[in-house]
Amino acid sequence: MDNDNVGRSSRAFLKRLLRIRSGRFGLLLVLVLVLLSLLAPLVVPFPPLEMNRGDEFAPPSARYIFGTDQFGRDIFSRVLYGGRISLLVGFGSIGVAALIGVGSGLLAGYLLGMVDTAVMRLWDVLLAFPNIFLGIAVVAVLGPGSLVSALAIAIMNMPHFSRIARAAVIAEKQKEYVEASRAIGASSGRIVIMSILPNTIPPLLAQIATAIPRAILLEASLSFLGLGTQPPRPSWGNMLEDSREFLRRAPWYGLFPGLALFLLVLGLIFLSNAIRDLLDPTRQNIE
Amino acid sequence: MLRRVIELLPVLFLASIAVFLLLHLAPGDPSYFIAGRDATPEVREAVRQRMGLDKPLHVQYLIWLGDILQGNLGDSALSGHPVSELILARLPATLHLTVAGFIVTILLSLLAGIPGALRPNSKMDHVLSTYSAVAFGIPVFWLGILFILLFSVRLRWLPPSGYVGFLEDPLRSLRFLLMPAFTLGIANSGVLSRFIKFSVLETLQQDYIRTARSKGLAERVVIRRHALRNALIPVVTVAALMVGRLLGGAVVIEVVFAWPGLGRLLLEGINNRDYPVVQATLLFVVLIFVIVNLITDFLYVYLDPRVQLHRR
Repeated sequence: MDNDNVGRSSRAFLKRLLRIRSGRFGLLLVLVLVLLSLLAPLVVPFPPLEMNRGDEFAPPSARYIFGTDQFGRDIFSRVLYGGRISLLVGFGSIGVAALIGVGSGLLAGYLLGMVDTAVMRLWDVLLAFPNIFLGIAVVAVLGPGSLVSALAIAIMNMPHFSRIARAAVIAEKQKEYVEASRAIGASSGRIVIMSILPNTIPPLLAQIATAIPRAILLEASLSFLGLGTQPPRPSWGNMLEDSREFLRRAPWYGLFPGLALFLLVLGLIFLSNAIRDLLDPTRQNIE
Repeated sequence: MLRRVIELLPVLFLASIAVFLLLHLAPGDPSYFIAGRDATPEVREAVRQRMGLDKPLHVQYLIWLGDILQGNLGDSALSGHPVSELILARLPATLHLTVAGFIVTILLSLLAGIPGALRPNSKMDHVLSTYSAVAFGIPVFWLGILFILLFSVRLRWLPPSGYVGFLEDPLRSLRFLLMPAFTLGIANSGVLSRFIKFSVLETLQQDYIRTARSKGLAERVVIRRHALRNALIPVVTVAALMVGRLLGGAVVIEVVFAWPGLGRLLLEGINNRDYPVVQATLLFVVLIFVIVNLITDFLYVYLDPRVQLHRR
């Protein structure tokens, strides 16, 4: 497909997405939260680390719309900045997972044999660890931090992408058009990238759409456990962890970071359901 | 079936290598991690000798694995207590939480999954679908915090944190258990209720349901005896796979409600760089997870005689 074609078909896709109610709702929620986070430096009334002496535990008001924390820091500003971490880790880790997962899956599925066995066994081992425990294991080695938690989330998502790509290669390899490309002398690399890869795109997109909200939840969980983003840098997870001590004095502290996280994840889930329905012709009639 | 068990061995073997390597991939001298930060040079030397830390890595692994297979999980670097004792001390609290969470998950999922499938596109269906989406998207620790804000801070009905063993004082134990179990159960019912709904929907479209209806069976009988029975078979597998999610969720919930379980033990281990505790706990979790997966497979074959493990 040339660029013009890609542009046209993605515009058509967006149009169909907006026709689904959950697609519209999800896209709206996600766009608002993404924009607010991206534009945080322009939007926030206070720098996220600024402590306003004398205003500790101020309840929500016109000055501090989400209230302040135990150091008098503006929770609204911190929530917007925290969103940047969530989005960065969520999208970044899934991007890396998709890249490495698909690469290894294509390789395993095309070459089969030893390479295939080795790659798939590696994924089996990773899948033997329930998600959060794999994250904990990675942090045990590398120490806590945003980057480490992103890496951990990328690692635990690789097997899924790899399996999808592998299955697609094995299915497509048998087909006539691949036979034909080989007959006219196309190299293996060219066949995989030009002929087989495009066919894996729908299931991969669906996988990406489901994986991102989970990645964002996991980043928040790891930060909540003290293993991800470290204070004073705000993330939704570490703010909620911090709030636990002060639930009686400052209930708003436990409310708003979680609400932001919940709305973002909910928006992404609605969006991913709509995308999956569009990509899977057998599910078209569900809406 | 035996083949399925044997297939798991390499996975367990490789997972044990991964857990073993944690200690060696972490920057620093492993003898510190095992003997503790305050250990004298003599003590560290003794550890080095016993664990063979001066020997090649594969020899060290075999020594470590040999110890573990004999039930010796090592001693905590922090307290010096045998790790196996620490795990056994924390296990009841985690079991308590995950079993209760599992029961709540199943109940809520059936309640939220089946009615929507029996009357698709009804008002009930929309309400329950929204519940599923919200339950799936809500961060489990935030749900716990919301519960504490509502039931402890505002209404003062339930204690915000703590744990009492069930056998010590069943009633008080229940008061502590209620919020954590429901937090865990609600969070997990999001996925399971959706799965149940689609499974029932699909079953209702099968030919044998049409046959059952056309031979004049009451709708109640069709649904109970024919539809639900068959629809719930795949649900068993998914429900068992939930155990992994439950264990993961339990770690987070143990932190929210200050619940003294395995998850907290593991986190304390990480924070104190107490590697023997971290390694043993991780290995233990993987073992449970793998065994549960195995049981799931067997259960599936048992419930649905058409399935054979090796003809997939």
